Amino acid sequence: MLEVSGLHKQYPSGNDNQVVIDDLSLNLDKGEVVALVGASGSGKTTLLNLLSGIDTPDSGQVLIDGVNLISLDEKQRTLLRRHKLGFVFQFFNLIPTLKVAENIALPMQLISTPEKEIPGLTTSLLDKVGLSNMQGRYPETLSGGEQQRVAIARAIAHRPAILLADEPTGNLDEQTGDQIIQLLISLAREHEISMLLVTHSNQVADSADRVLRLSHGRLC
Amino acid sequence: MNSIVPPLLFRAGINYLFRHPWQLLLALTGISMGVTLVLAVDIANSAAKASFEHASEQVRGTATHRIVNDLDRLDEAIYANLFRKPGMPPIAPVVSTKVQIEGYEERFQLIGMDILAEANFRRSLVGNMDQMPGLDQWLTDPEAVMISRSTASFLKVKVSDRIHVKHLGKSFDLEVKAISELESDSSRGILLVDIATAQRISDRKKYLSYIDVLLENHAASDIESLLPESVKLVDISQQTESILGLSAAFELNLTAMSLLGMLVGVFLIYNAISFSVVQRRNLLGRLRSLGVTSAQIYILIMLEAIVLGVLGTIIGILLGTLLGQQLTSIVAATISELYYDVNAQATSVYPVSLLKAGLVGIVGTLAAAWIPALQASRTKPLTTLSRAALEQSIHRQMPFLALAGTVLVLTGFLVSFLVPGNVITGFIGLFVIVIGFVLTIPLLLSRLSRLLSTFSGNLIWQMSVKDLDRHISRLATATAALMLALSTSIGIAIMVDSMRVTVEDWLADLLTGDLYIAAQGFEDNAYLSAGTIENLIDHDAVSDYSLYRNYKIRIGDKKRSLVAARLSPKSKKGFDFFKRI
Repeated sequence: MLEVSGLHKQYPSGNDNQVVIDDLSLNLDKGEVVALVGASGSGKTTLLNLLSGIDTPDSGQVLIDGVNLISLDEKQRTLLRRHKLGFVFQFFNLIPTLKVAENIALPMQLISTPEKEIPGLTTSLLDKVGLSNMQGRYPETLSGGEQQRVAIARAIAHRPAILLADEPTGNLDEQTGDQIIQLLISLAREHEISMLLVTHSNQVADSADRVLRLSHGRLC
Repeated sequence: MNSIVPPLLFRAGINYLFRHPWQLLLALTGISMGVTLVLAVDIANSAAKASFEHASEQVRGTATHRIVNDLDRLDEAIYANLFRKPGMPPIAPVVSTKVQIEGYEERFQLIGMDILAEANFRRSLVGNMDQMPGLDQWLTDPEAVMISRSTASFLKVKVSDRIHVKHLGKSFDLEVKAISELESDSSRGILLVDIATAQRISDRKKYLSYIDVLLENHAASDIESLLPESVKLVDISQQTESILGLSAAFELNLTAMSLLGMLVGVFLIYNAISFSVVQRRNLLGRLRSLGVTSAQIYILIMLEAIVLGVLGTIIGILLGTLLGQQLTSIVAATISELYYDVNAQATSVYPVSLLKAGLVGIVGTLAAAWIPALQASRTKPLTTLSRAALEQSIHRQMPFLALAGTVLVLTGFLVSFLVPGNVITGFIGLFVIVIGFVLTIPLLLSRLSRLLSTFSGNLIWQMSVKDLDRHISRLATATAALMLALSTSIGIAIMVDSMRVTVEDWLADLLTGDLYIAAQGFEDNAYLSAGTIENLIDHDAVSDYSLYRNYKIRIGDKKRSLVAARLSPKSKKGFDFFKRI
């Protein structure tokens, strides 16, 4: 599902270049949940940006469903992101000017899901994340845990092949965080979505099928 | 739109606008202000022009040509000779003059006609006059006058009421014998009398103002060959166009000022939209990471601008219509004062004016939104999340913007001064200069920020000064809008003040007497009698005096003042050409 090989990324830092990702390779199978752990500054977020085509590597390749992300132009990368990837962010990143149900429906509209199917799919997703009674509310009126549930529903609404979750529990209390992780993993497995879960927490990482440790841009 | 920008994406954008009412208000103010000014000026200009054309049409009727001389004083024998010639086209004699009515400041147009010759001409003015009660006395009663319904309403008179007319210092009584059904503003202020009555009032016994001619199957040369040398046959439509052309520069000035107002509005819109884009960088970044393409972001911002543009334009059209009605009487009064008599009120708004205002509103808004939309769409998802990236981009562009601005400023000056006296190129040059200066502002602000940071100050000072440079993209726009508004105000103030000072200086030199005595209606060639002048000069209190005689003559299509003067030594200072003799 996801094949990464020889990935390299460095940024200018003063008169030098700082290597952030160094000859990194990894694979993610269909429906597999992989946790990526590492200290702050180890390159986790940069790696997610490279895997999602938001940033481009200096060398190496990223294959998503057999398509090399690096060979695509900006628009093609955006379209690939739209169809193949789902994101769950630490700060939820919901659209504040759309209601809960609309936030979930947006990715479906983006991939041109027939309009008549969208309300049913949205209701079903809201049921799965336990927010069926909150579809008409705006994100700002929800708690952090509820917002992250909406973000999860939005991330899988368009049936992506890969889910990238960047510290999804980083802004939640421990109990809520556990619930969110369990929800994420169960939904990923139910829909056979491969998930790369970036986290600081070993407890969270233990819930994954496999754990990768990133240090100074390298997997160890 | 569904396939280009999903409805939910559009709703997210529109909801954002309405969740930020102050930004919305700023943008709507910018658009509506510009549209209001452009529409109001256009309404005023169009109403004044249309009213003049309508009035001209009413007065000229179906006449195609006019026999005139330079003094507007045709011997009526010319008419009699032409009338007696066999095979002549229809002709009608007219005596026209301006009169005042007691109790009113306005001047009214007194038109004397020969009712028997009118059948082919002014049907719209005289209408079904032959069926009007009391009209049988029109020919026989030297005090009979016919007025339109609008004139009657304005003067608050009815049939059989008397009105007191003044001309050249003399008073005349007229009795309203008939009221026509005309209700247009342009027919307001026209008093129709028999030609003999008009000759008596205007002191034109045996003279006419002009003769109207309906040339249908005749050649102009058929008539021209019969006219004395000092008399000519002119095409009325050309004459009307030529008169309207007199106020073209004045109208252009007003239009340019309104467009300058629109330009200030465009900067306000730009600022509001640019601010909304900057404020939404994070949100736009989220959308980009969800798979929204840069083209969709661009279209989204432009669609938001269209919504703003439509709303602002609607508000602007409503306000502009109201302002236009107020402005019309002022513009008409100024045109009457400076160029030609026009009596206008904006009772209707022309579709063309609405179309122009609508286009200005929408195009202005889209032009203002174009750069912020482009900035929002071109930024990549990673940098979309960072505000600093935008500022870095602006800093990179600053030298090029400043260079382009300098080139534009120089071009503007060249355009303005290479074609001296041409109003249109003058305004084009002015607009180019303004845009040029605006482009230099980011660099100037950045340099100013650095200069100010060299002065020692407390922490707040240092933070404020550095903030200038860090937020150049927003501050430069706000500064440009402020600069433009301020420079426009100062420019207009200087222009008005310099005109006022010039007129004051001129009057101080010209008006050296303690008393000025003139016959009422001296603008229309009225003069004091020789006896009156002798009595005044001989008065003990008079130490010195100057005498003037003013006479309006026509040279080509323009009226000129012919002034004869006997000047006291002090008064000669007011006439510059004496110094050169």
